[in-house]
Parts: sequence; structure tokens; C-alpha cells
Amino acid sequence: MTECERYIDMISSYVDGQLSDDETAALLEHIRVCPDCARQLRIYEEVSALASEDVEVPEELHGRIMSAVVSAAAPKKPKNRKVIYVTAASLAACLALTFIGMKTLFPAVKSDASAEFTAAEYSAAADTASPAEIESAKTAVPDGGTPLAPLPELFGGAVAAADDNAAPPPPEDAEILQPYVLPGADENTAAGSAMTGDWSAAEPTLPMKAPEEEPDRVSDPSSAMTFPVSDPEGAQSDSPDALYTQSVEIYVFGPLPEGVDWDAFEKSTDENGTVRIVVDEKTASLLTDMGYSCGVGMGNDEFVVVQMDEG
Amino acid sequence: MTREDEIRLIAAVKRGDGSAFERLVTENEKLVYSLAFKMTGSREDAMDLSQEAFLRAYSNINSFRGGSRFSVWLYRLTYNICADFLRRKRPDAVSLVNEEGETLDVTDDAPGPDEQAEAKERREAVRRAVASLPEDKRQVIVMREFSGMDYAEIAEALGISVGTVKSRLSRARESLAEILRTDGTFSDLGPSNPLETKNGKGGGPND
Repeated sequence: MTECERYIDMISSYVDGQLSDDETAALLEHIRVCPDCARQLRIYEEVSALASEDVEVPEELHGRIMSAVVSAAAPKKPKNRKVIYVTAASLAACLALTFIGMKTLFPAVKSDASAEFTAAEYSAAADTASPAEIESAKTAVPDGGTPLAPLPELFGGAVAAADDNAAPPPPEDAEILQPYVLPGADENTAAGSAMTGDWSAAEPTLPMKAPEEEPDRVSDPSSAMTFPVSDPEGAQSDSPDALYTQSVEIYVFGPLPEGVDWDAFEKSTDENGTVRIVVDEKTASLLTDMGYSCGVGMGNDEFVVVQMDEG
Repeated sequence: MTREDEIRLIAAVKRGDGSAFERLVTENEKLVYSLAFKMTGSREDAMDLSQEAFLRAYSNINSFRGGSRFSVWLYRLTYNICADFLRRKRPDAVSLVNEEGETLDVTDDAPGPDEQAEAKERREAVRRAVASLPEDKRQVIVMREFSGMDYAEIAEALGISVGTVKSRLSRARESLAEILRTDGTFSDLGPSNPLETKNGKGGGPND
């Protein structure tokens, strides 16, 4: 093998195209008469061919990286406030899940009997967050009731709140509401983990007022999983529902994109130049179409419940 | 991207310009992801590790002094993160084989011809063999074979001479070939006839 050992480094260099013409000629002469070295060369070539195969980069990688970086760079959220960032492709699913989140947030709240969703229907919507099915969930007619309002109307107060540059002030009974974190949605949990949870089995943990104190709320435990899904007027009025407008919080590095009236929204800039803006769902949708990452939340500055899938 | 571009962008990132960092991400994400994917063989792990690499790069951008190119610095950071990951997983190395195979299936679940399946199997065997190499040999193989870096780039990344790269690469390839011969991956390979190959590169001529 002594002679072969002389050539072993040359085989490696040959595979990398690093040999001079003279060296190449000498190596090839040896290879011609040495099956072991010829086999060695073949293995090297095969490894190179297999290892150099081009890797397809997942489309969602960029958004995932930037979301993580933006989250890391973002200013600290108020206690109990949780925002999970999503990419444009998954905003629709996010909105659907925010929609679902209402059920868990307000399991015993009922203000419009004609527009109730059963827990099972919401669970179904949660499990099928494709755009088409989201659309279907938005317009489903449960149990022969009236059709549900389109999704944006569910958050009828959202746009108004954004236009006013602030969420509506909490009504007096707001203190009965405690921050509620969806199953598996803690700060470090991967987004979407609760997607697989059993929504219909989620235990309501919000303190509820006794029926006599809240005549417009459902006291029958059997109805505990129904909740309002359409009450734009109520949302804009001084009812507790006004609390639950949807807010969409975005962080923008660098110049703000054109085509949006930024003066209409509350915004602040931190020392790093990161701009934090609270916008309405429509604007968020526009921004995500433009490739920006948005966090979608529900609630006011005291708490936000977010549950969404990374798609 | 030229070195001057990188320096300018990094200065901007240090001033808090997030869009500058996003440009660095755009420029380097394929390099980072490809390295992570080839080292782990798993799409999900590669995504997590890529994210981790850029997060650490962002957090530690102030410690980047420009002694080497940003891409080289990031590459080494990614490599270390992946190597740590593999080290942590090593106790499961035996069972990992099948699990990783399944993970690979997720990335390409289209039923392909036998040759495709076989190539995938061999690629996975190469990945495992590379993962089992001693650190110094693995570094050069990963850089050369997985990332296509030339000798000078490897030398820069590792802070060693081109001559050392050349000899270390040869030792690493010998070890790798030995592993792949022993585990039967290339037991059916015949000798190469380089007279029929072009520039000493590409597949063998005896197919």
C-alpha cells in the first residue's frame, strides 16, 4: 500500500479539482492499474455528489427567523400580555383562531341568542383553519339560527378603537375579568401547540358573576360553552363586549411602508428604532400581504389572548 | 454581497437598523439552513437551528469585530449550534436513524423512483457517517462537501493553512470512505475510471 498512500491525498485533491496537469496525469496512470484507489476515488466522487445536492429552503423560514428576531428586539410586553408573531401566509388561520379564542375567554357570556356558536362548531373551525373553511365557519348557520356575521364584524369595535388611537376604556365591571392564557400558550411554547388541544373540553377559568348580578349572562351550566359571536353594536357600546375588540400589534424596523395612513394609529418608537403600532385587522392584513409580520391579539392593554398556528 | 456591503450593514444593525439585519438574513439564510439541514437531516430541526443561529447572531452582533467576513462568522456560529445539537442527540443515535429517516420523508413525501429513494438513503448514510467523524475531520468535510467552500474559505473559517485544509480533508475522506464501506452503503460501488470523468468531478463512469 505504500505506493497507494502516495496517491491518497492526490485523490482527494483531484475530486476538488486541485491537481496540476502533471499530478493529474500521474494519478490517472496509477488509478488505471490500482482497483483499490479507483474504488476509493469512486467513493469520494459519490460522497461529493450526494453531499452537494441543493437544499430547498422552506418558504416560511425567512418569516420565522425575522419573527424571532423582532420578538427578541421588541420592548417587553406588559405582564400577562402575549403576542405571537405570524407570517402573512398564516394570518387567516390566526384570525380564525382568535375567533376561536373568544369561546375560551368568555365561556359563559351570551348576549345574542340568535348568533351562538356551539363549542363543537368552534372546535370544528379550530381544527380546519384553511381559508376556505374559515370562510365557511364565518358564515355557518348553527342550529337553524341566523347566519353569523362576517369575521370583521365580529370585532366591530376594533376599527373604531384603532381610529380613536386607543382601545375603549374598560367598563366598571372589567375587574372581574382575569388574564386567561390558552392551553399551551405560554411565552415559550411553540405557536400552534394548542391547535391540537381539545377546545371543547377547555375548562373555563374566568371568574363569573352570579346570574343575579349579570342578567344578560348565561347561568345555565349546560349553556356554558356558548358565547357571543356577533354583536357589533354591543361591541361599540359600553357593554363588557367593548373590551374584547381585536388589536393587532406590529413592529416595523426601518421606514414605514407607504399606502397606509399611519397617523390614524397609535405608535411608539423604542431606542432601537423599532416602531410599535396598534392597527386594525384590515391594515394588518394589508401589511402581511406586503410581507410584514404581525402579532394578532385580542383584549386591551391589560391582557391579550393569542392563539395561532404558524401555518 | 461584498465585504464592504457586509461591514456597512453590520454597522447599521449595531445602530439598531432592523432592515439591515433582515438583509443579512436574506443573504445568508440559505447557507445557514442548508448547513443545518445537511448536518441534522431534519427539516424541522434545521428550521429551529437556523432561527437560533440568526437570533444569536443578532444578540451578539456587537461582538462581531469584522475580523472575518460576517458570513464566515455566521457559518461558524451555525456549525457550532448544529454540532452542539448533534452532541446532545448522540445518546439516541441508534434510534435516531429511523426517526431521522421519517423526518426526511416529510420533506419529500412524493413517491419517487427507486433510484431517488436509494439516493436519499445514501445521502442519509453519508450524513450519519459525517456526524460520527471526530470534530476536526467533520469540520472540513462539512465545509467542503456540504457547503461547497473552497480550500481558502475553509482555511479562513478555521484559522488554519490551506495545506492543513488539504491534508485534513484527505484524512477525513479516508475515514468517511471507511465508514461507508463498512456499513455497506457503498459496497456495490465499482472502481472509478477517471479517464471517463470530466475534471475529476461528478459521478462515476461505471453506472
